[in-house]
Amino acid sequence: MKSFLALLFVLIISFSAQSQDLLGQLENQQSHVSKPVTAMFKGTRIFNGQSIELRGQGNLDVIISHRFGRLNSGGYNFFGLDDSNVRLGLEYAVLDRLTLGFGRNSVNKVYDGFVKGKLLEQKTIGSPLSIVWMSDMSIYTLKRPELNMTFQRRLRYVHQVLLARKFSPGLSLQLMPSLVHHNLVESESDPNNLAALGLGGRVALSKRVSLTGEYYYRFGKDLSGHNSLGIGVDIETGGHVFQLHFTNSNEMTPSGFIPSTQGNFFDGDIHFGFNIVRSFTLKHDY
Amino acid sequence: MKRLLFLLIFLFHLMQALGQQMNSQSGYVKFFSEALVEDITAENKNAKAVFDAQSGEVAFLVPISDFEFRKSLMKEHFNENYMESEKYPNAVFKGRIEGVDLEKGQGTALAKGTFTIHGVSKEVEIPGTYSMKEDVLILESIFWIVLEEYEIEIPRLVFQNIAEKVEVTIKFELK
Repeated sequence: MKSFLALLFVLIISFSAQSQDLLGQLENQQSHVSKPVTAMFKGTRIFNGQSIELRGQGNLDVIISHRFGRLNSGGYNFFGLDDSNVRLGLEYAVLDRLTLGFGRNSVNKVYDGFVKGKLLEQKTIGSPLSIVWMSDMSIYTLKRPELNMTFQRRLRYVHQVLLARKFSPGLSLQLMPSLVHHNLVESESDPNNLAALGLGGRVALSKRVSLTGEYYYRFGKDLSGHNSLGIGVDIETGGHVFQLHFTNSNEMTPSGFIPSTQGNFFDGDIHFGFNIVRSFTLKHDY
Repeated sequence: MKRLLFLLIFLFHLMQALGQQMNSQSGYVKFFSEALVEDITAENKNAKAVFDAQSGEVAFLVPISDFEFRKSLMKEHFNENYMESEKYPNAVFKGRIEGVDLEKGQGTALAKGTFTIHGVSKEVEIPGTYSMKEDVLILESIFWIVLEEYEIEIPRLVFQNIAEKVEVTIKFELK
């Protein structure tokens, strides 16, 4: 009788396994497959600083950025639109996980270059966040006849670790522990080395429009200037990303806007700005 | 008692035979969209299928994020903007294939059932062919999908880039 019961039991189990809906079987299998979590941000920049995004291998982004003057400079100055500074940038994805970038800024006539590499990718099952390393070097080439400007004195460095997580299709948050080093600083009270912690985020308003925010907190006492702060909108139309934003920074390299943001956001020292990103595929996947 | 046991064992074996399922873990799905500015092709080699030859019941599952494009940015836009693959990770078909005769070895068949893409379900009939090579059953079909029917929106700005209907090619080798 016992063996009969055991057999009946086996029978019921096997019957129920077979009667499971075929699609249910496939969906069950698929639910154990881990997938990379992609598209945390629309652009490779949140707007001033780097986002966790990297483009696929062979992709060249041309980025044209403008920052206008301060909104509170009044109607005579057309609320800042009379002044503008420009950064022209190129970013090339050498590998899926490695991007090299170059740029030229009109403010202080700065040339910048950076290396950005993905160390870890968020997965649906597994890693809860993505990690990207970014090292940036810039050369300040403004003529300063009053100073003995050697090449060394013109160099500035920034190293960042970007930690980001996409919590849902609509919300991504990013932390940016950063180290800034200036070989030469403006005054004795400014430190050569500055640590900062950035916080960035994206809230998707629709499939193609999202709201972004970026803030860098600087560690240190009696620092001159202000912490960089801004909000923006990303609009994506296929091959282009348009980023429109309001920030208290007028510089576009991390060695500029992290330590030397001069505007006080809450006094209205706000710059309207935009980045236009156009992607070109130089190398196809097949 | 013994007879009952015997009967049960017999039933058990019968059911094993009845429930004989054929599987594929690496089915091939390609779509092709011909448009003014740019033709778009994407391939997926991770589609899954299970087919019950006895009853004709069948299920297909296509993971949307496994479609590979010529341009990496297209893949991102496909997933984020068109298919919303985080919300709707798979396209699935559930139904029955009529006309498969394993002994005949090859011929045409008709799949009838529910196709769910982008979270939208539709009753469809898809014609195709089958052929038997040794132990492997090959199912092939080419059919069209009208994007609008599955509420896949194309913004006017990129209208010229993407056709309103795409040609889908599938090939599954089931064992």
